[in-house]
Amino acid sequence: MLDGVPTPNPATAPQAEPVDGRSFPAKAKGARPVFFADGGATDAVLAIVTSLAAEVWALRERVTTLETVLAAGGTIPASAVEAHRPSPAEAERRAAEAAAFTARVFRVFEEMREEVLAGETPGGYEALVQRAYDEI
Amino acid sequence: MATTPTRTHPNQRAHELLPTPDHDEAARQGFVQALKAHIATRVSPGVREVYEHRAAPRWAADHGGAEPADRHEIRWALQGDVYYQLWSSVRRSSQHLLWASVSDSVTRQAGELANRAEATAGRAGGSLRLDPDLEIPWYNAEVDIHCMPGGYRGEYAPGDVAAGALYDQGVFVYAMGQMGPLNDDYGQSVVANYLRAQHPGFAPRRILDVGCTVGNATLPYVDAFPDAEVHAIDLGAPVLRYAHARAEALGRAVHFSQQNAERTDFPDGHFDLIVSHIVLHEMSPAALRRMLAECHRLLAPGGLMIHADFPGYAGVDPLTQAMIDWDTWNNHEPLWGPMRSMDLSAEAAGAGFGAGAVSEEIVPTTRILQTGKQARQGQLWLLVGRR
Repeated sequence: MLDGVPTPNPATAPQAEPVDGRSFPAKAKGARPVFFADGGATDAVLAIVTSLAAEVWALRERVTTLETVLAAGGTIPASAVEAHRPSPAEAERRAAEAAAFTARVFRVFEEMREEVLAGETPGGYEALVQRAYDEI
Repeated sequence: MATTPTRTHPNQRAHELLPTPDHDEAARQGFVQALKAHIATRVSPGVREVYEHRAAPRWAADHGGAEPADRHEIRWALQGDVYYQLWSSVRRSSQHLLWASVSDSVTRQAGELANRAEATAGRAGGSLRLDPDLEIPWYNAEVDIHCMPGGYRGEYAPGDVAAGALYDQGVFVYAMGQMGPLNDDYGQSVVANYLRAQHPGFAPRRILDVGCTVGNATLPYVDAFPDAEVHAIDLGAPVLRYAHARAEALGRAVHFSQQNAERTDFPDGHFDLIVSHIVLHEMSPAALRRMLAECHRLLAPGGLMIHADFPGYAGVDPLTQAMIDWDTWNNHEPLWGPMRSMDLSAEAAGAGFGAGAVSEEIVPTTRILQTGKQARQGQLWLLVGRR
């Protein structure tokens, strides 16, 4: 009942295509928005940092899994990490740890919010330094 | 319903077609969920604060004391603020990371998933009809909606089902499991909280699900109306291959076909019930109008049309509109804002239903977790037309 692969329809706009070495496109078709007026540099750095955060988290979770498995058993079979299945309680604990981890990495947003609500500006800080100088 | 949880997501029900993330893929998906939750609860509220304390006053100073008048001026007022820029950039990155965390996992298993899909053929009695010559409309062909690489129609191997697997697992991660163990909450909610409640004796003979993607919201109608013939259509071949195999694997007979909902090949009056779930906001306004008229043509006397989506901007304060509209401009949801700016009751009335036979309904979503506990209750907006 499964049909064959449809031949591409030239009347249709082309689909997203991966670059050489990839079997699947890395991104969705359509341009990515640029939020900072620097040609996309800051957006790219933030994309890298966000991905790096995920990688750090994956490492942390792998260590957690190892620790859990070690504590439970002693020696580790080769498949122990992949075979480990978190219990509902453990999954809940991991979700809480992920939330705390994320809050640490993205702390800058909350720092900025505190600044906004307090009306703090770099100019205000410079004025304070100037005031100290003025007292000399 | 017997539920076997997946290895990595306790609230997700396992089935044969679902990709299985390995340890680190699951960790990345878990991180994306934590990041999305963090942005929503700890970062996004700052945009309102920034607007009130910094962006709106700055705009007023530049515009003779006048504050931004609508969601568009609010967006322009925010665009120059560094907090808004950082929030937007990280939010967009989180969307890319979401799909990357799932697509790396899916493409690693793509061949195996295609084999499993083929192995399900004939099990439940459903069918699959693909149309290689179907022209993909511009609003679906030019942009991959919600940043999903390849969209609903990208094909990268013979018998490709990757797009379906990507959607099925991606939506579960995106919704943080809030769409139910089988991502079927929208279908369940329409059945349980609207049809059963408002039309208790309704017994459709033929049902059509429009824009079904992987059939996740379709299957509840098979369970609710076991005597009905259930059809489902979508634009994308790979999601339909996956949908067909998924339905067969789960033992539900559905007849899938690759068709544009704006003009199908079904005869007049063929269906008693036509439904869609979060599809309206992925169609262009003109296409949406044509689809409503097509629904009117396809419904038999006494039939019902039910489109489940999100309510329009009318009556919503401009700052909230601007927050909602972020996705329109920045998250590959180009039709989200246009759809929410339409008067869909008037459109349905004009498509043939008539004003007296159209209504908008708000119903609660069900969201029964695997534990049996009711999760946070959401709301679903329905556009209903009666033939």
